[in-house]
Amino acid sequence: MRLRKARFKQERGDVGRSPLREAFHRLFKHRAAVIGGIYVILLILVALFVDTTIFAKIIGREPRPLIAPKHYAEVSFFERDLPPGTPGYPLGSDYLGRDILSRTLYGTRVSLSVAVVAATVSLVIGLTYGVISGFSPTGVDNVMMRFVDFLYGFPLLIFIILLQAYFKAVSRQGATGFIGVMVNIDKALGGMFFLFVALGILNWIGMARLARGQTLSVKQKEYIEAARAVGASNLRIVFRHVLPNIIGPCIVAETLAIPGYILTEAFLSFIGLGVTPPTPSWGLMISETYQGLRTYPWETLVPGAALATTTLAFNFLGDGLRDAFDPRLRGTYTK
Amino acid sequence: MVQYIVRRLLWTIPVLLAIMTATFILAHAIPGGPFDFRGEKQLPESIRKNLERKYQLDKPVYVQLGKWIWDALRLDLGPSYTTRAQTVNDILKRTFPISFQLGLLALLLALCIGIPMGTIAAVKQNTVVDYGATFVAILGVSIPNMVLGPLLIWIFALKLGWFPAARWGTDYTQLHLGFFPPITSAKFWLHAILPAFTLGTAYSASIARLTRASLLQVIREDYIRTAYAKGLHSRRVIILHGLRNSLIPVATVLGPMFAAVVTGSMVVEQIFGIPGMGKYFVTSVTNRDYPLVMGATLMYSLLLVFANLLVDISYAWLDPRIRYD
Repeated sequence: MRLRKARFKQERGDVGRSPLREAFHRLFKHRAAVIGGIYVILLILVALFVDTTIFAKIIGREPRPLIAPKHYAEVSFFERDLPPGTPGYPLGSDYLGRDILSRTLYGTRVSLSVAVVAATVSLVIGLTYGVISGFSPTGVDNVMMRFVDFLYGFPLLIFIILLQAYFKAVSRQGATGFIGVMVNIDKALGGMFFLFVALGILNWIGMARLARGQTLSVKQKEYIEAARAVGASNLRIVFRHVLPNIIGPCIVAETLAIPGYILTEAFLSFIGLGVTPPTPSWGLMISETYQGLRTYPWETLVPGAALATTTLAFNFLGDGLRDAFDPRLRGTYTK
Repeated sequence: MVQYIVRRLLWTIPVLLAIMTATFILAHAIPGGPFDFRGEKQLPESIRKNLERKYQLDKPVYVQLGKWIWDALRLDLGPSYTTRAQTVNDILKRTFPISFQLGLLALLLALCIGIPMGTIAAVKQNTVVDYGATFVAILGVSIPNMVLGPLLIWIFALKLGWFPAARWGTDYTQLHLGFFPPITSAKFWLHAILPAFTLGTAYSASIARLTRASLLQVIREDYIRTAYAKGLHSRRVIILHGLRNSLIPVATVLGPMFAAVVTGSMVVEQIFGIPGMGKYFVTSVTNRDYPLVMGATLMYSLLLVFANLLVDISYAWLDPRIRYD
């Protein structure tokens, strides 16, 4: 009798938890993911409050550094290449006498903005394309997927480089009309806007494949048939029944793609096609200083450490999310 | 099988054509031409016009594209606008093998580290060894080339002085211009180890994770139990029966990976001062050196296409159930 009661209690306990809560429970048990998540939250806070841009925009004053000790472009000609620990320069200064700590802190802004915006853009485009393809008649679906396969054979990095070169040249030359508006936005963001566009435009392919596969498998389920039987329109089925069921794996996959975006941004800034100097990006800081590695190693290693820990944190978080939301996929991440 | 390969090769023709057309249009759409110098180096209008006429830049884009394709079919990739003493063919002949060697070494290194690490992690699932290997793998995936390169130089070249930091190819490139690394030369290895390691680490880590995941699935199959039941040694079961089947997902990523390794070598080449193709590609884009852009893109695309083809063929060898008829 007692045994049966205990079992009943246990079953009720299982029923009481929604899949979402279950997933979060699993996520919080994943120690590395929690550490990664805390680090990411810290990074977001740093990116938001590294200076007073947010308040300044509201009140209408010039932004001042808040977390960072100095402004990222504050040059001091007589205090160049100082080692870490110098008073006023906790992590040293670079070849123009700019505070490395401040520049590294400001660098979170570029990295995180690229991560968030590129991920959102590619998620939206990929999801739309994938769901439409999965929901279309076989003929349309085939054509749409052939197109994706076709793009899959493209060397994407090369096209990102070419696109960036195009955007850079256009913004240097000045433009009018629609492109002129984009150029102005880009200038206001220190060269980040075109990075978003280039990364977002070219990285939706994997997402489209995933979304289509998920849509196809969900489409066969009974509840879709039921919804159709009661006369729900296609649009309603997509938004009420398909999207909520496929969004989880798609978001997890996008989180796992974020380190890739951060690295691509760093790469583009490294080869001089990323943000516009003096906007601090970790890749740019590394490329400006790696040749002086013998004498001033900290100038390269500090932004390098920031870059590596950030990608590490996102990888841990993405791993944990995947394990939590889809235990079947455990350990099947491919780069 | 032969039929399949022929079909695949035929399919690459439209893909390559599309890639090259897109590259050509995009490269020409970038504002500014190859001879639009600014400031002191600015050319008089008439000279610029003459130069553009000489390279047929005054013709419509589709005529230029057609001419480029026609020349490329005869293996002539045209002149380079910036280094006029060399044609694009010369530049690629000199630099591509270096990038290829570096990429090949990095990938081999990645395989040699990744597969054993993944296998050990899978066999000892949920032990300290497994967690350690997984942690190292995530660490490896996370460290970007541009951080690992300077770090390795700083530790092994500058502090310890074991390896040279740069000056790749100063002693032996004249002798070894083949596609395969001069493995007998000790000097080559001294120069190659740091860059290959920098380039290969991230890939070895992701290969390790993939191997572990797919081996874990394979180990639970019935035929593995049968093999154990026959009384085979566990090492033989894992390596001969398990590993071979679990390598299929690994083979899938190797194709794109190899192309990514060779393109990814841009950063590593720059950090280690290696005279490979990556640097030329970036500078040719900023210099509007259209033929060099096209030539380098063609090499990268060919590499990508053939790597994918090799992967598809290797499936048939790894998994005899796969037939291409």
